[in-house]
Amino acid sequence: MKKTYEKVPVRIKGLLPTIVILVIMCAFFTIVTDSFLTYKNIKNVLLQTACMSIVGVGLTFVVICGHFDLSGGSVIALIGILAAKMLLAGWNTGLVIVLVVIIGALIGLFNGLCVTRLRLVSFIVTLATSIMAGGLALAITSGKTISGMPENFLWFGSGKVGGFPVAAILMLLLCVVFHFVLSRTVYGHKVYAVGGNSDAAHLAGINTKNVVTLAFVVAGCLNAVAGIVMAGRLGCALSTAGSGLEMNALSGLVIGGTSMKGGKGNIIGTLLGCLIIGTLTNGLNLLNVSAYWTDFVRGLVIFLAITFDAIRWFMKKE
Amino acid sequence: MAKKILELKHISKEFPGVKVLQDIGMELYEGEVLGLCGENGAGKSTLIKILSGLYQPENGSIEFEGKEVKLNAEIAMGLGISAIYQELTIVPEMTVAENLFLGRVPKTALGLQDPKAMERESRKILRLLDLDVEPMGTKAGDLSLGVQQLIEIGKAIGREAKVLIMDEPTSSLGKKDTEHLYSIIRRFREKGYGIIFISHHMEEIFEITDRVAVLRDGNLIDTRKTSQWNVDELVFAMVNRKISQQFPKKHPSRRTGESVLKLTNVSSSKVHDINMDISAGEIVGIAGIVGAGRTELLKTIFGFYKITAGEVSIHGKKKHVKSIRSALDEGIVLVPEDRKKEGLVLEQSIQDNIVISHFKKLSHLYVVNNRKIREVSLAGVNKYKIRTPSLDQIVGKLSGGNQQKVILSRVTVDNPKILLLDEPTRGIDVSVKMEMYQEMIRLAEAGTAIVMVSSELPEVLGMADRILVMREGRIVAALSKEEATSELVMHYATGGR
Repeated sequence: MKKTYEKVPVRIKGLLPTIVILVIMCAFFTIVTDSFLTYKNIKNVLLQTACMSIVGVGLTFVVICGHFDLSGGSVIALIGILAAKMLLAGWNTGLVIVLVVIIGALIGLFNGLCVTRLRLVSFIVTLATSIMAGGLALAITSGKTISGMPENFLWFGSGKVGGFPVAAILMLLLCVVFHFVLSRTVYGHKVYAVGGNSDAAHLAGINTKNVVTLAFVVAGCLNAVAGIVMAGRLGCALSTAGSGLEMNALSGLVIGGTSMKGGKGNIIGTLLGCLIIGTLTNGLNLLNVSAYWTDFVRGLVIFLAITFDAIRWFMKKE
Repeated sequence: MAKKILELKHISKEFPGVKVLQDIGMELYEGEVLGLCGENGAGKSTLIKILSGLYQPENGSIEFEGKEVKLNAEIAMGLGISAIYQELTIVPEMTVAENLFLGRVPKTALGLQDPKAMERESRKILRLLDLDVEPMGTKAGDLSLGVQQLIEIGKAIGREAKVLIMDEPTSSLGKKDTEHLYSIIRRFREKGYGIIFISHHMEEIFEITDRVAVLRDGNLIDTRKTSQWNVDELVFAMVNRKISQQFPKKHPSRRTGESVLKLTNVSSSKVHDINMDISAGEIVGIAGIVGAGRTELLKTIFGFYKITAGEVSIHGKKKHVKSIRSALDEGIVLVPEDRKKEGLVLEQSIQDNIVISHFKKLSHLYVVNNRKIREVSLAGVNKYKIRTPSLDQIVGKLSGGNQQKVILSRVTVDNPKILLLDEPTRGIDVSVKMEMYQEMIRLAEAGTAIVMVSSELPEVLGMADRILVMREGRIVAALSKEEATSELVMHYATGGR
């Protein structure tokens, strides 16, 4: 008698706690504030979460591979500034977008090659890249803000389609695309295998170096996209544009269940995690909590989320 | 008669499901070198770990200088029992003196480090070891392996050792360093130390020991004065056993005799000058002691280590296997030695682990075909009767035997031309072992050429058509099934000619 087995999407399981946290949080803010559950505010939350989520999607690939990419924030600033310079020189918007995404990819390629070929620690390499990108941004602008970019470029960050922010649509679209890449393509399967056990993946015939390098390239491209969105949202380019964003995205990842040890995680979790961070920031704003306390509470939520995860892990072990 | 330092009485140790040591009785006297011999897995390491307090025996007692003691790591160290393992525990970035006094740095009255005392004591120890090394200025990592090994010993005697246990201390040493080590051992013997010396090399055993004890399958077979042993008797004591297992028989008529894999003078960074020619349907066993280069030979064939000289032909055609991917494309597959570290992605499902090598076949335009993936993994699970509630079961939760079957399912998705098996039955129970043997026979009869590395000699003798014996990265003997015996294989593996 041959057995057949029913189909369960394993990697999506375990998202329930994240959803519960998000729902409870939304319910709480709906009750204690008047303005939370309004169409306008929801749009606002999505807009505010867009850049973070886009960076988070790329970061998810890198972290599942078992590495880090700390360059997100600085790359956002650098990309915005480079785009602004090109646009002000009169270059075509479409061309500029293609060029800056390629530049983002090259930064990712550099990170990836340093990690896989030179065997440098990703945490340190991307820290260096981050400082270099940030420094370059400062050097190009001398710390000044660049404004005057054409409307069709700013559209990605501040435009609307049918009253809905383009940035939020872009975020959701990228999540869908990269969720598909991670869960259904050969490359996605390889990412999980390399992150789960690099030696075993290598002996099973997977070119682990290329898989990891490509993950950094994906992250680099998405950092560049986030840079475009950020410049559009701010209406200008400045050297501090994305500062700290990669850490917020990383918190979103952790809350969404991506393991820092690699091999585990998914895009839906990352999106939910980033939404939790965004909702929290927004709700506390509506409650008129001071910005200083907002950071404290955000830290606390991250701590609770990972502790909860650790406890669940221990209970499973027992 | 010299004084007894250590006496073991009726020591037994079990791991879940396996009796590793049974009723061991052993003595160690002052001023003697006791050789400890046995095959891989005979229980030597477990015995050392019991003596150094890392494992506690289930039964039996240990007497130290006539008094019964319960050993843990701290007590063992306090009594002066020191073990020196094959793997060095030197901290390469620290100086020689810091290494000698690791964890017990001499202190001044104020509780600060006392570099003067450290230097003085270090020099004393180094003089005992005949080492001309500057203790304070030299980083341990800059010294040769042989000197590092001696510094390990220095760490032990610095703690006022009475019993020194050395686990294959010469395995990484050259001739000169080995001679040096012998002279040190002899000096300690004169000083009244009790020394337990473990080695696979017969010449060493006869050169340095006073008595030799032989372990086999967890039992102490015999202990005699070294002068009362000869090489043949010793090897016989190590390997002779009742054949408790029956091995399935292969249908010889199905062998085609067509050469599938031929290596001519192949070398890599790990193995040297390898010649072998394997036919379709043939099972070739590779024997040798730990570190002889068996795993490395398989990995060289598999494209893991770069081939630096010689040539490889598959089905008579010269091939350049430059990566694991190209090996797989040629139909060469490997079941690695350490299934948890190298074989499986433990936190992923059975299905993920089976299809990991076959994405090309199971996808279209880079998108995986979930239906095909399930078909292929289901076929594997059914073929090998992997016991699991679901294809999505996390592999880490399966038993060792079922884990091995998952790897076997992976490598046999396409009928492989050449199957490389590295310790295929390690840590799995008898019934699964039998299934593994039957599958080997089935694949061989279907025309697969099989190369099997195993530390279990009966398995090699029972399953292989031919046996190649390796030592120090080279093939030192090729034996037919008819002429191969445990004694002969061990003879070549341990350095006989």
